[in-house]
Amino acid sequence: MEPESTRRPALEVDGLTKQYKTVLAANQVRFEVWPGEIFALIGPNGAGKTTTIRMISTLLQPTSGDARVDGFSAVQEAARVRERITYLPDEAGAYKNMTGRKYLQFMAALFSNDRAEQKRCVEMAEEICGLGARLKEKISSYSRGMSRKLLLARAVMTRPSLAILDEPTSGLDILNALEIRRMIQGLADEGMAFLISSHNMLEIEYLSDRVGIISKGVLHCVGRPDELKASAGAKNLEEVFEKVVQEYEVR
Amino acid sequence: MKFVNLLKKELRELITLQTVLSLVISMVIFGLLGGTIGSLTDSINEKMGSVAVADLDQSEASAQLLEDIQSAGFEVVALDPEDSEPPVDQAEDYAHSSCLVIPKGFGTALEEGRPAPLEVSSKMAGFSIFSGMDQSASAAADAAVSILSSRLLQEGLTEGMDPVFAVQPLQITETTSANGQTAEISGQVIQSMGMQQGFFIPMVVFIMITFATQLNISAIANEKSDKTLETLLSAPVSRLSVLAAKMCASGLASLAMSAVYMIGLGSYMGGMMGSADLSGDAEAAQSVADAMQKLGLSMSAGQFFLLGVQLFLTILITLAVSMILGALAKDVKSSQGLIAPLMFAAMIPYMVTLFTDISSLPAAVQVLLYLVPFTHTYTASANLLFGNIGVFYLGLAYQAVLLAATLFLAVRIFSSDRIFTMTLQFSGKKKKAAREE
Ligand SMILES: Nc1ncnc2c1ncn2[C@@H]1O[C@H](COP(=O)(O)OP(=O)(O)O)[C@@H](O)[C@H]1O
Ligand SMILES: [Mg+2]
Repeated sequence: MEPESTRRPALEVDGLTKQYKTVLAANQVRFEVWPGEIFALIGPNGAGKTTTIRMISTLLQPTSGDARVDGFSAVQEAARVRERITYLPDEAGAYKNMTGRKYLQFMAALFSNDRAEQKRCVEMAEEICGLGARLKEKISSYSRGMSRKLLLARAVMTRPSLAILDEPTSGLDILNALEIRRMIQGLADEGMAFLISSHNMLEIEYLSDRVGIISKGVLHCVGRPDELKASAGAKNLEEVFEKVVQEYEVR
Repeated sequence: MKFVNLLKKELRELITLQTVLSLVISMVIFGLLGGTIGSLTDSINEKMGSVAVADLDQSEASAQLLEDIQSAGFEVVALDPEDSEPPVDQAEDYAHSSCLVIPKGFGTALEEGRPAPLEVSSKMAGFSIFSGMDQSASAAADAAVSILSSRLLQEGLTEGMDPVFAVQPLQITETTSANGQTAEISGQVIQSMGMQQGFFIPMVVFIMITFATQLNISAIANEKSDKTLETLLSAPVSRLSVLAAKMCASGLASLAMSAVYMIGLGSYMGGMMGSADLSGDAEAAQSVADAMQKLGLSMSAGQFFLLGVQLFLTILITLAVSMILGALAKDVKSSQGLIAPLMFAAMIPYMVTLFTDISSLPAAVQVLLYLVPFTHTYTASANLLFGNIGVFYLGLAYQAVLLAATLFLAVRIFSSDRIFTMTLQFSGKKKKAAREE
């Protein structure tokens, strides 16, 4: 047996499977995300991205398989995993009657009982989200882009080992999407691991270090965008997706 | 710490324009409901076709009295004066809970020019409108007085007749019995006192159930549609404290709202029962209180405690059930459909207990009604006051069991992924059904 490596993945997904009544939404999904890495699950709507992500976030019970965050099992040690991750659901909102700052304070208090630590989290989020004085206003007055920035700041302020973001840029205009991509990139450079999902394969190419192509619950291939493009002889990830899925269906 | 944080957030979310608005709307509904009850009681008062009379005197004068009552439009049901059973009990066979008793010496008194005694005897078995509101006897007595006195005045005052006697030829005493005790007090007064307990408490309970359900279900539905629930449940807080914070907040808020209502309704009910309002007269109020006490119709501290326990159970059941229903809701819209069945479950027994005694209904209907936990709460105060302790405790036990079951289910749902999958399957089915159409 090898001694434990000094570099351990932030997330190890090991054969995650989810069978809904009639749909096999995730089938033996296997990949890992390293600290400081941005990993993107890409695939069309209904591919199984959200299902996979919810299992990793301890919200759904896998039919089989497991996901480990910093070595803790999402199935057996859900409480431990929840201390180490943050999850931003797709199309998520926030409590509309709260001000932005109140929301950050509320969420910070869920992660830590220590006042000083809570304060540090809120200060970090305030800086990242760039909402400035608008944080004193109610969330119901925020635009889509503003609340997404607030939620993203919330998701990273506790400095999780792994931040899980489901479709973080979908539905945003180009400028907001760009800003959010920069936020993610900046934090990854500081060592935070990201698992993100997107059905927009072109956009994700620029953001992610590695991608996993998923379709109908099956994770077909994992790799760096340029590697995948080269090996498939494709111009972009959409073409890679097309080829990979065709190849799989012929087999 | 985290629990307090959660609780504060829940409370903040609950007190919104929307909830205040729904409060005002239901206030109006209850105002209308109160009005209907008021007019209904009036119509019952007017409709008094028959009256039960026990003629113990069997004199010419008493026969004349019966004729007079008939001429006033009453159909006289004659009770057997020889029977050992008290006249009120006999009257029950004719669906009357009150009767007139013409005591021995009635005729002699009239001959001698003294006010003749006449008794109005009522029996209380419950406080609902149809079970307790028989005022035929007291109305007949009033009619008899006016007919007799107008005849005396028409015939002209005979020599030596006291003019006061001509105006008030009968001396009416009203007695009411309940729980095997009898007190000298009008059934009408008891009835209106009883209304405060028999109507008022269930009404406040009903309001509380309505609020708690609505608040709780929409609290969960809101979190679901904004996906804040997913965020919350993937955070390092125990699921139990999320559940408890929600239940506490809805419970506290509905309690506060019911308190506001209680004050509002209290003054409203006071107005409705204006006819028997004795609050101005401290002495009269005291004698009424004494009579209620003698009849066993005022609550002891122990009974109040039991009532409190039952109210507490009721609220907890409501909260647990609405947590489960909330888990089924996909968003605020679909939650409205889920509130409806619970509202009916609270409304139907409320209406039934308002208008009639459940024990007078067919057995199958009784079982159905008693399966609804709220029925036991609505009937609790009447059961305690009229000595149906067994029924009360059975209801309490049933509620306790039901609470354990619903709470267990709610915890199970919240601590597993059912809180998400239940919804999704539900909506999936709906979508499929919509497609098939
Ligand atoms: N609770 C559920 N019950 C049944 N089927 C579901 C449920 N949730 C998702 N699905 C199905 O599983 C598949 C994958 O869905 P999802 O993980 O949401 O995909 P994605 O996020 O990639 O768009 C879809 O076919 C979807 O209809
Ligand atoms: Mg999705």
